[in-house]
Amino acid sequence: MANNPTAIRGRAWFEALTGSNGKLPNGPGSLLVAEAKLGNEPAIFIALAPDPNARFPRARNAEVGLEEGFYGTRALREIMAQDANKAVKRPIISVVDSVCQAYGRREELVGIHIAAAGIIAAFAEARMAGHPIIALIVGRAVSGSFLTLCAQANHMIAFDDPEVLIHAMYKDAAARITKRSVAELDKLVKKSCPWPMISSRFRNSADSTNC
Amino acid sequence: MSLNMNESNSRESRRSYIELKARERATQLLDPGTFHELVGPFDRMESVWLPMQGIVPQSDDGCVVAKGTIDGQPAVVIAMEGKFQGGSIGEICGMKMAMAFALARKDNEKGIPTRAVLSLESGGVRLQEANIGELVIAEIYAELVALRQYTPVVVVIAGNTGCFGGMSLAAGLSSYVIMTRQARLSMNGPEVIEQEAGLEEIVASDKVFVWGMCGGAQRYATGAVDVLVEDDADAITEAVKETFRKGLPPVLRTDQYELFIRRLAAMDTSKQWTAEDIRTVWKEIA
Repeated sequence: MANNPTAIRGRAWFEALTGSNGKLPNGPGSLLVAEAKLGNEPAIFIALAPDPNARFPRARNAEVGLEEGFYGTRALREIMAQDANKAVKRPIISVVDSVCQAYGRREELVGIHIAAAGIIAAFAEARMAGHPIIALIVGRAVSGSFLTLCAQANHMIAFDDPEVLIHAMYKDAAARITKRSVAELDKLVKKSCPWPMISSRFRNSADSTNC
Repeated sequence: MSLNMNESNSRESRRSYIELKARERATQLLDPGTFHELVGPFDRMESVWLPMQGIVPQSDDGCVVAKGTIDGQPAVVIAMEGKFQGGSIGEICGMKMAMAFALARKDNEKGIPTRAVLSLESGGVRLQEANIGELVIAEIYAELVALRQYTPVVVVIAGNTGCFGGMSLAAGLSSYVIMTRQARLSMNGPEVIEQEAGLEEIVASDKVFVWGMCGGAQRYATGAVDVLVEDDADAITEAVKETFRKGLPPVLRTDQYELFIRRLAAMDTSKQWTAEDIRTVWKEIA
């Protein structure tokens, strides 16, 4: 489940939008950051992408892991510092296709909650400083990936596409933890709003995050 | 002999914080006689999503918000009840938390220095409320980050439920964390890691290992929490007061990314690590 061979959408859309591979000189291969034109204005694009050679084996499929968290925070803080004295702050577009946070022993020993909180604080403070934050959800945004990469945005935009998935947890794991079968859960999805599994059903509430 | 007797006396006079319910915890942390509950059980703010899934809701949704004073200063205490739905964050309890932070921020903007304490017992988002839970957690983060500019936001993690998932990130965002040895702080619970990543990552039934990895003592030794306290209601109250006396932290935990980047660079990721490995490297690269 954590293996996500389809997590290619983040890189594909990032490259299409920026014309760049987004590689940072001193960053992990999974973190893509570049400036590109959005209309006529400069904008920052940031995305995660799979990296089979990543140092951390539990974070090779575009998960939010330790390096993604700490280097992602650094990248966002640098952008904020560059624009600190500018009247108009560049928009930051978070292009999201990320399966979840990284599950592993190393991650918890170091404190992945601090790595993830770093990104959240950076997005939130960038928004408060006047950077428009847009989450463009082109694939998966599940659990910690949604909370870190999307949820502090002024606006969330999700493609109306069956591969787009926004959720608190994958369906089979959620069924297990809430002690129900997947079939029961599916039935519940049809009648109860908190369980949407696809973006088109989520969209109504997607813009309710405060700005 | 006399030492032992003193110890036993102090144990008798000691009251457990862990055994207190959420409302008692909030009362405990506020100055005596100042507890005033906001959106209490008689306001009947209950989850509408739980009954349709065959679960009896609770009239405070597992979250108590109380206004009062701490050390004579205006304060709001938000206490989660770990015994209701695992301290999970649903729509009502999450919004109570977020709005309490928002009111405290508005106070601060008006020059009233209202401080905030978050007493956490939480397994994370309430899966029965799924995406709504995620959205209110996003609101909690937004308001927490806005509030911590003005006043310390102090997180207390005391009990056996611990602090996981979405609320572990709230602890990461807070100004200070106070923790007991009994509590755990971790983004992914050990069972989830075992299930998703296998036994080579974590054996969830190995309690010694699990507490060694994410228990209060290890978190304190590696700087992920600021104060390690005994399970003593008065000692925890005193630790909260002492923490507020320090004022805003010189460096927030979420601003320590350069330090973590240096530490990660020094680690050999080709092997699994022990809690001791982290303590050693963290001391070397401080």
